[in-house]
Amino acid sequence: MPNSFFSHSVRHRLLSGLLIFAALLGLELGLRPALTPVAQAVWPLHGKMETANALLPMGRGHIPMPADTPAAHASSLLAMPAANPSALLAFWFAGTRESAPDVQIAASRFDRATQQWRAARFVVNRHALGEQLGFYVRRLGNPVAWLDRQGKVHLFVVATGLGGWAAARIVHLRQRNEGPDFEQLSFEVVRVLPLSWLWNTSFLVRTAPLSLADGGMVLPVHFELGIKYPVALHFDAMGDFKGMVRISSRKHVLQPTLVMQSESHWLALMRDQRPDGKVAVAQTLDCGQHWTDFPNLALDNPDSSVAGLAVAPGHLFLAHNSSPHSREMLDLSASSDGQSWGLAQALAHGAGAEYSYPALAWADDSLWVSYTDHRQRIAWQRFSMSPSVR
Amino acid sequence: MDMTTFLNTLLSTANPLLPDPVAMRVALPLVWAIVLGSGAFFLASPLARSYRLGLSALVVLWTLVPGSASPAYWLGLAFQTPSLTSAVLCLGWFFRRARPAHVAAVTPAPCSLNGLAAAGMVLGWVLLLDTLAMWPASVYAWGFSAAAVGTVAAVVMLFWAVWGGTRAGRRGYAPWLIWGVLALFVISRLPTGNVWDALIDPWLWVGLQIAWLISAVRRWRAKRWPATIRA
Repeated sequence: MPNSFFSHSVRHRLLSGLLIFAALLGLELGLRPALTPVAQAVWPLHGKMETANALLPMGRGHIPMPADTPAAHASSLLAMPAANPSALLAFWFAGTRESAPDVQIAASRFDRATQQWRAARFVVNRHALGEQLGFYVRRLGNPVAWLDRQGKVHLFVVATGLGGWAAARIVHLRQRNEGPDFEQLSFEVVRVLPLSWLWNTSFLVRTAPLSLADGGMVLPVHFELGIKYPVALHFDAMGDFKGMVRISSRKHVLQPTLVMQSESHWLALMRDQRPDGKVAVAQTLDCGQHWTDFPNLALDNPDSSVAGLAVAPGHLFLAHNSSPHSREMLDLSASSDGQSWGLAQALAHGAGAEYSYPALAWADDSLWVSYTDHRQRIAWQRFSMSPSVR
Repeated sequence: MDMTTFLNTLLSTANPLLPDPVAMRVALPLVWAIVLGSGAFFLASPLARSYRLGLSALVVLWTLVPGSASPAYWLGLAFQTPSLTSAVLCLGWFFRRARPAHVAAVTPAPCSLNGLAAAGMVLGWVLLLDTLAMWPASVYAWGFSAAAVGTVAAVVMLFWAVWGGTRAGRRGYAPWLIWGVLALFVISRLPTGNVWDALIDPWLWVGLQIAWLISAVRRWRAKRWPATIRA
């Protein structure tokens, strides 16, 4: 029966095909790492906070700039372990102007012994990055730092391709040298994160990751070619990429910042690019495996980056531009439930000024804020909450 | 491995296996060298075979030069690494066209890749719309799962079993092409660790559509003005 559906040749091909299929799938499954359980987030402040007391200013100023760099933007703070001589590391991009060819990633450290920020130095430049990647890198920006289980600093930076920020990719770098010596801090490229089929373009990073109990983290990023949407990237304790989950179905929100409400219930607070936008919200109840959109907060958002941090249950903070149409006012708001926010501290106000792109971190029993000051310098402030911490 | 663990491992997108960073850096100029070398051989078709081979070899060597002197250094800026399918197709096309005439005369011609091209076009559209977040779930993220590799292999198997085989002395290369690409991907994880990037890249997708458009116009013209009327 040569015309029968299951003729000899069809059976022969089906059997051969099944063997090839089984071999491919067996190899694919056999080579894969074991599946790790979903991890919960961890609070930066392990003690219990009894009351929602006011923030007490402990210090403020500007982080030293590298020599001959009139422009600075997009800082990121990294809290260091107690044994490290530095309480914090700060990273930002600096050069003659934003997107200038000479822009590099600068870093400074807050010295525990002297309680001072130390001289800044450049730690990543695009030429060295291009050499390691094997292809040209046009511009650099938006460094975000994280510490892995071995104590190595990982840096995620935006590297632009053919085009501006909308043609950017996220490059993952890891500390090359061992040890806490800041002067020796240097980075090697791990990879360009694979996030999109379209030549892997238009994914950017901006805000700090959320630490997980297994030593891993969730890094919020966003897509911005034409439309804007946020995505959460999962990494294990060694900094290996563990997948991506879209945070929102909206097409106009970007630069999500992740804030815990509980170990498994997190909020993503986002910049809204529309005129008269508010701070947008999405939430997950299962440690970032699934996200759903939530109604906007009452807080205005003039198409500007926000930074959130929950230091302990019921103690959520958000640094944000609070006027509807400008970046002249940068405030720190506090909330106990993530929905109702009140002013905790006015960070910087000035007519015609720009205070933007805040970052938050918890280190040495203090809440630290850094932000861009007039696109020229990185300012910082430190607040104590220790009187009520138990 | 019990059934639950097996299914979780199969379906999960949370345990991707990415390529070794060194392999990625080696693959970028290598794959571009294959694509550009084949392109040079194609563009030099008016020349004699030996000149075409020489030109291709020069382009390959130029692309493999480390650093900014290589075209791969600049192409990678915009387009990253081409897909494994592009590399295998270019390599296959090159070896087929570069053969001496006496070898070509005894080798059967391959079947048309129309079915594969149609599947590639559809997949490209699905991935493009996914990049623009048009689907409720992320198709690209699913490309990190073992299930995506298994699904592609299974679909190819079924198509080959039902419609495959040798027809009129022409070999059916399409399933072997995809299985070959999948095998290369499973072993190397190139170019990114995501199976969709291994199967199709945006330039290949654009090329497929241009080829389909040219073919459709030719068919339409042949239907509207048969050869006898045109003559």
